[in-house]
Amino acid sequence: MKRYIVIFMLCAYCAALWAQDGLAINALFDGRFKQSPTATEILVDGGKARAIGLDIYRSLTVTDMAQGKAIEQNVTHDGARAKSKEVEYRGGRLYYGFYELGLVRPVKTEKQARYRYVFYLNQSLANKTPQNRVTLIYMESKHGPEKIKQLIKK
Amino acid sequence: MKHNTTLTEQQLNQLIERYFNGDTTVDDEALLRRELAIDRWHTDVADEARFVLGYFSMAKPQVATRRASWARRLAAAACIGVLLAAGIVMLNARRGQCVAWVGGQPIDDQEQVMNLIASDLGNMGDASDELQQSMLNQLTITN
Repeated sequence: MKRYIVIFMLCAYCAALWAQDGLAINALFDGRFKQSPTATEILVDGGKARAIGLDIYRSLTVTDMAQGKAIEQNVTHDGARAKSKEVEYRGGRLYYGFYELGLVRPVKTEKQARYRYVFYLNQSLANKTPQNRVTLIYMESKHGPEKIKQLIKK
Repeated sequence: MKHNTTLTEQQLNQLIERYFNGDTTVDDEALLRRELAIDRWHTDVADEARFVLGYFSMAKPQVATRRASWARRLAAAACIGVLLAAGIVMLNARRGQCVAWVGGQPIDDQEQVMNLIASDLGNMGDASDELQQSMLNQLTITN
């Protein structure tokens, strides 16, 4: 009996690791910015996220540009493995990015599929009214990228 | 449950004494074993005789029943507690979270949080539109 309990716990731990899947941006949501006076972090999941067509919505906005640079590095790291992307660089720096990162985890049916997306924006590189502000948005949803992009349309 | 015994306590003690003195017949010993197997007799003399005769597992029934009863109640309470906790966790997971931390301050007002989200998505939309326009402009120029 004890053996089965240990095996079950090991499987559960491995499943949890698989779900995180080694995204660099995950480290940014480890709680370090919750007490930061220069950051805004948002978390919406469950029923409230489903109301806007998502399973998870997480965002991080910083006004400290050193922190912004770290976010940019994490985003470009994960973006290098993106299934598809729309990006714009200005002066060698990432200005805007939309990345489709693929499945959250392998599934057997299309109905079970959940996809990951990242939005990134560095408003200090904006042409109109630039401001020191970098925003990262991470989403999980059953919807495809076209539906996700509708969320940002007014 | 009615215990089927033919001896009084005094008679049982006399029988035990004769057994220890070696004065019992085979029938007497069989009677003694039957009497001691009944869980009615819980005197020191009877317990000693049981020990000698090998009735090691004969414990006082009231205490054993009480302990088993408490153990079952504790186990049942623990199971109910675990089920309740699991139910609460599942209910919260289904309901979900909607929370923001702004400048170190937590905000759980749903409307405020959704307004923040709308603002961020709006900024993304503006940037995306700019990108689309830049692409169209470049395509137009090349044509």
